Amino acid sequence: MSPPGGGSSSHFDEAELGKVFDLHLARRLWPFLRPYRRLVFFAVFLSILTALLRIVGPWIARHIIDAFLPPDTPERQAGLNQYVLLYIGFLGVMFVANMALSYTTAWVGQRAMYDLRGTIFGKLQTLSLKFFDRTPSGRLLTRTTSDVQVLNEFFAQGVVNIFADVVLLVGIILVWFWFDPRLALLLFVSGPLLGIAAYNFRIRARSVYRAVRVRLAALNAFLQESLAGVRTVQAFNCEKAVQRRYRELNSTYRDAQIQTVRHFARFVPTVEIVSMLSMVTVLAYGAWRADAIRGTGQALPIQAGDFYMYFQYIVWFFMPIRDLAEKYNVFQGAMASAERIFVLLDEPVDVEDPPEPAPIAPLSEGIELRNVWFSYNTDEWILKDVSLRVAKGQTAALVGATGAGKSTVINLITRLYDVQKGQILFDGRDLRQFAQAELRRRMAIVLQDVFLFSGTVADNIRLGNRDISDEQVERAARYVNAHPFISRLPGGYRHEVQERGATFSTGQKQLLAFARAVAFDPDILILDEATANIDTETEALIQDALAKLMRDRTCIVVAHRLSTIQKAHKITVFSHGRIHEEGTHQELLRRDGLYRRLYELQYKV
Amino acid sequence: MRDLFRLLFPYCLRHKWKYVLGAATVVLSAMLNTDAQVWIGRAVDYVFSADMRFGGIWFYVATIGGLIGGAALAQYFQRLLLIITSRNIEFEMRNDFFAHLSRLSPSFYDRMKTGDIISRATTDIDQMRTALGPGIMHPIMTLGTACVSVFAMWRMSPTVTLICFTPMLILPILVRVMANLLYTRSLRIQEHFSLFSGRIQESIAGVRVVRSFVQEGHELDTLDEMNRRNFDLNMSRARIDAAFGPILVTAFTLGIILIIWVSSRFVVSDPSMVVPGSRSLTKGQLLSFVLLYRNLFWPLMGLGWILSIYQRAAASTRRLMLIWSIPPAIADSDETDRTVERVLGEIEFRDLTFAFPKTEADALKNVSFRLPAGKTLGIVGPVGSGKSTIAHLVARLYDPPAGTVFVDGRDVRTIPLDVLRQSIGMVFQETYLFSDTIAANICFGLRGETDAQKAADAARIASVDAEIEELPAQYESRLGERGVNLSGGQKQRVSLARAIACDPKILILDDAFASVDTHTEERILGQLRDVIRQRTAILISHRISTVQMADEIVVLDGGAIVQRGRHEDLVRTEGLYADIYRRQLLEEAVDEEEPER
Ligand SMILES: Nc1ncnc2c1ncn2[C@@H]1O[C@H](COP(=O)(O)OP(=O)(O)OP(=O)(O)O)[C@@H](O)[C@H]1O
Ligand SMILES: Nc1ncnc2c1ncn2[C@@H]1O[C@H](COP(=O)(O)OP(=O)(O)OP(=O)(O)O)[C@@H](O)[C@H]1O
Ligand SMILES: [Mg+2]
Ligand SMILES: [Mg+2]
Repeated sequence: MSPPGGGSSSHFDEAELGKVFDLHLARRLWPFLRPYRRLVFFAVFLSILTALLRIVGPWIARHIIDAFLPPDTPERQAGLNQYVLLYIGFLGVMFVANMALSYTTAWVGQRAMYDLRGTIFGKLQTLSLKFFDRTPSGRLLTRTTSDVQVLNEFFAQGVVNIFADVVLLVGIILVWFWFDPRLALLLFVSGPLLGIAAYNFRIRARSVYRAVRVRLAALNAFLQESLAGVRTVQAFNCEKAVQRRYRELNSTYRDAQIQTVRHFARFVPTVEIVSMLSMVTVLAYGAWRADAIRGTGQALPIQAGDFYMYFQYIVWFFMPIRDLAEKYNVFQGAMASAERIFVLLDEPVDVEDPPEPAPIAPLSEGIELRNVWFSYNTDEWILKDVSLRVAKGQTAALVGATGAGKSTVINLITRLYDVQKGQILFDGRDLRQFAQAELRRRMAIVLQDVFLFSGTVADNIRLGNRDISDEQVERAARYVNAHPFISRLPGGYRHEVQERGATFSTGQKQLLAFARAVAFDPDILILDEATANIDTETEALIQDALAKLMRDRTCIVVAHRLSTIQKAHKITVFSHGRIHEEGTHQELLRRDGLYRRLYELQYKV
Repeated sequence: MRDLFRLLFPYCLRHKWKYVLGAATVVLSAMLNTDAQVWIGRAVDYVFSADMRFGGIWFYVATIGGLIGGAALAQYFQRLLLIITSRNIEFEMRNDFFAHLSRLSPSFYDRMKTGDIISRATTDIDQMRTALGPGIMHPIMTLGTACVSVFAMWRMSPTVTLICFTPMLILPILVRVMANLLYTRSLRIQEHFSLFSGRIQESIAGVRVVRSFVQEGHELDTLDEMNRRNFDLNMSRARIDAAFGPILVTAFTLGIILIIWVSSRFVVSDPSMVVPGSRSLTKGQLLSFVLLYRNLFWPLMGLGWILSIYQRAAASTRRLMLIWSIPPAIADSDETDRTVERVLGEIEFRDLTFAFPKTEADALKNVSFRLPAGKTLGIVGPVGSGKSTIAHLVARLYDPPAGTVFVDGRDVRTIPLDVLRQSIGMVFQETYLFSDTIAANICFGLRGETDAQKAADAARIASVDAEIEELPAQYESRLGERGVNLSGGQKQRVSLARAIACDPKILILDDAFASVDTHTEERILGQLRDVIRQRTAILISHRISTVQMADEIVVLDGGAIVQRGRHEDLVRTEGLYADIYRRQLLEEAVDEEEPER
């Protein structure tokens, strides 16, 4: 029998995306700008304004060159001075507009990034552990850091400037036509040339940029994992092997980078040539016109100032096109990032709070698993029809072979995952009726895999819970016998914990995790192999202390060491995801089943 | 700065010909380009001259076209030579840095944050690359352009040249001042961002704890605070940034208008009236001036940018050198005896007292024992008593003082590191699995080859074969990060299989059955017995049942050996071992009373 669904969705490969602009994505980004839309419109207005101002500039200069040079009469001199002043004043306006534009854009961009990050953090807190199991942490980090950054660049360089670029291009074309339609048409000849170059570039750049990003991600993921596992690497003398692998990944990354260099190397000079060709066109056209009226005594149709103006326009006309290469990269990257971010934000929340959560009171009856079926990834049932009752105030123990599904039961009771079939009841009500946070506040758990945060020892015991006083922290530490070793540390409870507690022994880490659970003073205490790495003497001390502490609390204990659980009110033996037998220690020993065998093995010394 | 050059020099030297050739193309393109601007001015003058013929313009067109084409070609090669070289150097540098990282001892990693090291290996090396690519290309280009342009302008009119271009010399200084302001703020952003992403990373890695203890709110608050600070810092840079760009653009345009204004009185209306070497200027020349000015302005400004690139690279060098200058604490040295090719497996500790680097308390005190090749040592003792430390010292993951730890009668410090470690199979107390296939994880110690048969054999001894074979892809199933998709005991057994697969002379099992039930443990121990018989083994455990078959057992407490001997003897002597034993038995006895056995 196989669970419903089937076909595990593998998120192990980073999807390779290559779109440059996607209206759908743009529409989804809009809500993040919406709160600041006035500022966005203001920025767009400013950018259009600066573009218009830029078009006017060369036009004034042209007038200066043609009308007042050389300033051989007083009127001309006066006109020259006047226009120069005008130009300077005009520059002042432009300066202010530019500054306002730049600042506004930065503010909106940063602000939207702040919001977007906040949204992602919020989303991450709602996703179930199923999601975290299959998604490498490095990838999630990328979502919240560089992917968001890339979107900001896209906003700052793309969204706002694109209006300026369009206005500038259209404005310049209009001015050209207005001055001389024939010349304007001639200049357009460069259009197809550029089109071909840009198209060529686009086709090639598309896959190359994508490759750069994907390969860099792979390279860094490998780096991260090799460093996190460096002890293993060294103990197995595998430095050379990982170096080799890193070199391989690095070289594919370099090759992709070199491809982009090649494209750039071809594209940029091409644009340069086309732009110069346009200038030469203007020259030739001017010469042709001048030639046509030679001897007629008419004024030249194209003056030095005109040349100046045309040259300046040509430079500006080609600037956005030349930057296209750069922008292309930014746009494509932004679309890829946006898509990935939205994939994350759209990730269905499979463990959800009900719209109107039932109020939760302290446990009064007990917790019950009723015909529970569960599977992590729909290939294979991990729990098969498990029914189990834990009465209030009692201690229930789960034992069984490794991989039998004990931790899975714990994961379900704390609702880190949701069951597929059957239900779990808290005082007779389905767990899914409660808010997860309220439910978990009733419990404290020592996880099988200890995790310590950086910060002080005390911070690790109380986490973010400011209600837990220093005294309570110390009391908890004394309960689990962690106090002696903590007080020997330099700084005691203020001792700084290194990444993942690297400078503690494994047992010490486990004691800290234990102290954490005790400090939270829960109704329900859950211990998943909480003393696996702790010696018998210390464990006995903890047991005694705990017996007092847990007198009328509910306790669920998973342990391989049966000494830990003999006093439990009920022991449930798991085997291959099913309940094999159930009863008190004595009953189970009498039954001569799996438990008895486990027990005899352990004490046959 | 000196460090920067010292770091980069060897790399550059390796590619010196590329650089020489590249520099030549840069200068060439600068020259051709500048010349083209001059020719445009000439062409304009020609258009306005009295003897202009339409046919005559083609000469100018061809000249300009040729120059531009040449410049473009040179530019193409310049990129190919210089930028590709910088990518190659980046590649070499990354490899070297990674190789260095992989050799640094665990005591280094104990005190560093992985995120921090990664940011050095990525962002900082990127900075170096920028210094090597654009950082070299750009100054040469500027210098080339400046020389040629000034020369060309000087020929047209020395006076105007002096008047117009002297002020431009302050450009790099201006840019540098602004870039400095930007730089300090960027640095602050970078530092904070590194903390920020470290915090994000931790909040993701510790998600199980966060959820179980309902710390979501706290996490969100902390992250929000850092997020906001990030915003504030970025805005403080944006204030400078917002002024920076417009100031430059305005300065540039102002320059043009000033050139026109200042040189206006030298302009003559008729090109034929210009006397070479005099102060007068044709309109075409004026145009050339403006074009040349434009050609020079951006590179000069870029020079300021380049300065800040170097500055950044220098800061990055400092950050890189901080790690690069740490010699791997544990490596072969002149003491190493290269003739040693094999290890038989005898282990001896002679009066070892050991404290971890940067700590005061001794983790081990006066520890001595001798374990003949092929024998088994059991270690028991309370939490934090130094058991794992002994295991780490045998594999030289931490360095023991000279003359204390011996393998085959030689100080471990004289045995080539790869020989030593190749002969040790270690099961760490805390399992680390890679997000690769199960087979690749088991065959990890085979250094790159994956042998399905060996993987299956080892898995069988470690008793995980059945569970692996139940998985859809069996040995080819991919594990999640750190093996999240396995149960605690499965992880531990895969790690045991990994140690067995490399067929070591010395097998060290550090609490390797802690997450495994007794039944499975018993089975594994049974299967291991044959494996252990031919090897030296160290078994560390809290369970007497695991160590009782050892040839010798040492009991550690507070870093010192408090008891030693065989199981049979130890249980009969008053002491810690007998206490532990009794307690483990007692718990049994309590229940023995009742059941009818
Ligand atoms: N996050 C996960 N994703 C997919 N499969 C999982 C995951 N966690 C556990 N499993 C699988 O579910 C089964 C039961 O695992 P579980 O952790 O509940 O075992 P356990 O009884 O706690 O074993 P142990 O004593 O070794 O800790 C195992 O086969 C394991 O491979
Ligand atoms: N990397 C380290 N840096 C500094 N101190 C360390 C480091 N590793 C361990 N210690 C300290 O050295 C002492 C001995 O640690 P060790 O890991 O050897 O204990 P252990 O006997 O293996 O304990 P456990 O049973 O908990 O695994 C402990 O007090 C521990 O805090
Ligand atoms: Mg478990
Ligand atoms: Mg240990």
